[in-house]
This record gives sequence, structure tokens and C-alpha cells, in this order.
Amino acid sequence: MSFDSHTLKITVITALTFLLAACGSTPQPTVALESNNVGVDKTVVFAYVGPEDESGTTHIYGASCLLCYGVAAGLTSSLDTHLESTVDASEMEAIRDLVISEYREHNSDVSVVTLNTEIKKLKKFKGELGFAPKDFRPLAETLNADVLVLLELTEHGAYRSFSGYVPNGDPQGYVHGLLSTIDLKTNAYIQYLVIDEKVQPEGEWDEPTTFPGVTNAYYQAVENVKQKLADSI
Amino acid sequence: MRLLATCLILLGMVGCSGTSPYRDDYARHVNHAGKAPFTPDTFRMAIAEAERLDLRATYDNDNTAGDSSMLYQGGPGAAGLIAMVAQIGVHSSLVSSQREEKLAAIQNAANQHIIPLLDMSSTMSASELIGKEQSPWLATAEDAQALLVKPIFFSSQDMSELSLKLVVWLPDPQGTKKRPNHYKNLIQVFAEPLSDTEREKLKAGDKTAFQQHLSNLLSVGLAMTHQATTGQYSQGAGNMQTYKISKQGKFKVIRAAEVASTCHFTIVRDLHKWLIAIPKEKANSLSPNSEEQANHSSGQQCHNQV
Repeated sequence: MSFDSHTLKITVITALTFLLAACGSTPQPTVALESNNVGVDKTVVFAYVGPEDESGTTHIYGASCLLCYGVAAGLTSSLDTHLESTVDASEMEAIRDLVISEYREHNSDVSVVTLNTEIKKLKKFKGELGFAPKDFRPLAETLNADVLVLLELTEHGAYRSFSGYVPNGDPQGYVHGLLSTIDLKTNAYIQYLVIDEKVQPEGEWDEPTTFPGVTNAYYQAVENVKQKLADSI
Repeated sequence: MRLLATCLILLGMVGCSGTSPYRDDYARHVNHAGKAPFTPDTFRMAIAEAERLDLRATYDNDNTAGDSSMLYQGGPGAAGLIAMVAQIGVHSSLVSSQREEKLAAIQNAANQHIIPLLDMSSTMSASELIGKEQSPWLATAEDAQALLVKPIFFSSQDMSELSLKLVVWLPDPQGTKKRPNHYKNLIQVFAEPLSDTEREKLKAGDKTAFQQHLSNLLSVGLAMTHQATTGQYSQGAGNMQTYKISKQGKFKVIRAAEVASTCHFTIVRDLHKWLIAIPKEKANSLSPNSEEQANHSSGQQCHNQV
């Protein structure tokens, strides 16, 4: 079988189009909670996954080359030192406690569990939008539950956006994570809420060593997240 | 060595664009003497730009520029490196300029929502808002030194919330460009949200009512300035808490410690060491007219206690 150059071009372009289309898959939209899905007739458990680094730090985005990242890290090093020494996990734990208490408004029997398996190690689940990409169904038996409320807080502290070497703006107060509530029979989302809160500091940010603007913006981000969660549960 | 120097220049240029755009409603706290700059007897002040009234609409201050990826052209040897450094400098200036423009555009757009208030403020001056209690503090030609006070008033875009920032500073005659002041700080006063009746009055152009609201804010701010610069607030770090202030259906968070409490306000010192008056909840509800009178009369009594 032989290909002329025209056929080869068409084949390559078609393959690239499919590849790019696959990369741009639709993100999971927010799923609003319907309280009857977590009512007293269901066994609901809550699990919390906190940030890998308990203390806050600066999360750098957009510094797309190794040297750019080095420059970006150099620019934010004193802020990192401050955040790491003053921002601990206590506010993340306060968010966790708020989610538990809000869910207990719908079902007073919600119990707190610890996941013995890392989420990324769970098997893939091939579902459509509205279903978790990992297969949580085996947890129904191990946790003896119908519904899993999973709060993952992955990053907190400050967020700074770069274009290569150049910062696009000030470091912002930042909390990032995901609240997902999963039906353990079907693996469908009962609630899906991305937490991505960024708050611009008021006025000047670069005030070492205490960085009051960025620190206050962090607490504003935390309170905004609490409000959003309270409104959505 | 040359390469190291070039890299340091590169870092410096990038660092320049890492600074926030200049804003005149912001002050970094300084107190080089380490003690109160005045005593209650020596306290004197002068209003900066007293002949005009500075009023602005509040807005979301996120001035982060959009992604502006740029492909830097390099070349062999030192000349190529220097060319790349120059391009990064240009990129950095572009981003900085975009941020300044975005901030100015946001402020202008926000101001469009409070045009009735801006119209009234254009015929008012800061000096005419100073109350009887604060007038004796105004500096005369005989006073050797006076605290400069620049009031900037703010209104939420729906004209339901008024607030005040006072940038206060004591210039150092022997100061340098880097250390021009003995003392500098920011005093902030948040008023309770206006009732619908009060808001409608302002929207209808009731200048007397508007002037009274601004005057009450300024009186509280100046009384706080007096207390702060005469050492009457505790200097301890205090117990940091999160305070929330209503802001057009949302809320503003202030991480601060309480330094004083009055009949209408909790006075806190925040992480910047700014002094902020947060309104207390009304103890009991009153009819709109008597409420205004009560606020005004009790406000006058309370100002001296701030």
C-alpha cells in the first residue's frame, strides 16, 4: 500500500485534529446538591484530603521554562518563607469542619472516615460527564456507605501568574480544591464544586517580611470559600 | 562574571514589573521615632487638598494582566544575551503598563455608577466637613509641625455603603527620598450600610444629607487619627481575629486585633498596622428620621471617645 503526498497530508491533519479535539474535552460542570440524595435514609460518610504541604506557599503558574520558573521562584522566595512560617493547616481544617457541619444539617448521621487508598490509585471509571473519573464504587463495601462526601483541598497560600519571566500581576490570596459527593452505587456525582478562590491584595503587596496585603488576601480567600461552600450545601 | 551581572540585571528588570501599580489610597505604616509623634496638647493637623473633595466608587481591584506570552529572540554570545535581556525589559514594561491601564479603566467604569454623588461632591470641599470638635486641631502658621491628612471617600457602586480612608503623615524636614516621613499610616472608617430611605435621598441629590454622612465619617476618622498619633491606642500585637464587613452583598475580611471599642465602632489594628473603625450592629431599630438624629447626636458624643 502506497501513500501519495496529498493523502499523507490529509491523514496527518485528520490525526492532529482528532488529537487536539481530545485534548479539549469538556470539563465537568458544577453539580448542585439536591439534599434528598444525602438524607437520613442514606449512609453518608465524609473524607478529607488536605494539601500535601500543610503550610501555605506561593503557587507559580505560567513560568513555562525551567529558567523562567527559577526566576519566578526567586521573586517569590521571601513570600514563601513568610507563608510557610505563618499559614498553617488550621484554616483548611476550619473549611473541613464547616463542610461536615453543613452536611449534618441534611443528615445528622454523617460520619467522618479516613480513606485507606489514595484516590489517584483507584481504578479509572469510563463514564460520561456527571460521573467521577475514578471508580469509587468498591468503597461502598469497605466504608459501608451509600454516599461519599470528598473534600480535597490541594493548594493554599498565594497564587502568582507569570508570562514566562514576567509576572502578570501581584501574588493573590489563594485556596484551591474540590468538593465532590459521589453516589457509591452508580459513581455519579451528587455534588461537584471546584474551589478556586483568588483574592487580589489591597494596594501594595511587596512588603517583606510580614506581607500584610497578601496575608489578608489569603484570609479573605478562606472566608470566600467558606461562604461558597455554605451556600452550596 | 559578566554573565552573572547580566543575570542580576535580568532579575532586577523582572522585579520592577513585580511591584504593584501606584495607588494614592494606600500607605505603608512607618513610625521612625518608635513612639507617638504628638501629645494631646501638641497635636495639630492640616488637610491636604482641603479645597476639594475626593470621592471614588469601590471596585474589585484585580489588575492582573492577561497572558502576554512573548518569544524572546536570542543570539550567540554576549550580544545575544544582552538582546534577550532588553526584550524581557520591554515585555516587563508592557505588562506593567497593561496593569496601570486596567486599574484606571476599572476605576472610571466604577465611578459611572455613582454620578449623582460625584455631582454633589464636585461642589464640596474637605475643609467644610470638619466638625466643631476637630476644628481646634487645625494647624495655624505658628505651629512648628502638623500632621498632614488626606481624606478619600468611597461609595459602593449601588450607593448603599460609604467609607473613608485617611492617609496621614508627618513629614521629616531632614528626611531623605527613601525616608521622607517621621510617621505615616492609614485610618479607615466604614459606615453602617445606608437604609433605603437614606440611599434614595442621596440619589435624589440631597446635598445636606450627603454632607452630613461624609462629615460623620470624617469626624470619626480624625478622632481616631488624634488617638493614634498621641499614643492612646494600645501598642500590643493583640489577639488577631477575622472581622467581616458587608460589601454590596459580599463581605470584606479584615484580619486584625481590637484596640478600642466605642458606642458605634470597634476599632481594630490590622496586619498593615492600619487603624480601622468597624460599625457595631445597631442595638435597636428606630424609625428612619429618629435613626438619623440618633446617629448624628450620639455620633457627636462618641467621636471624643473613639
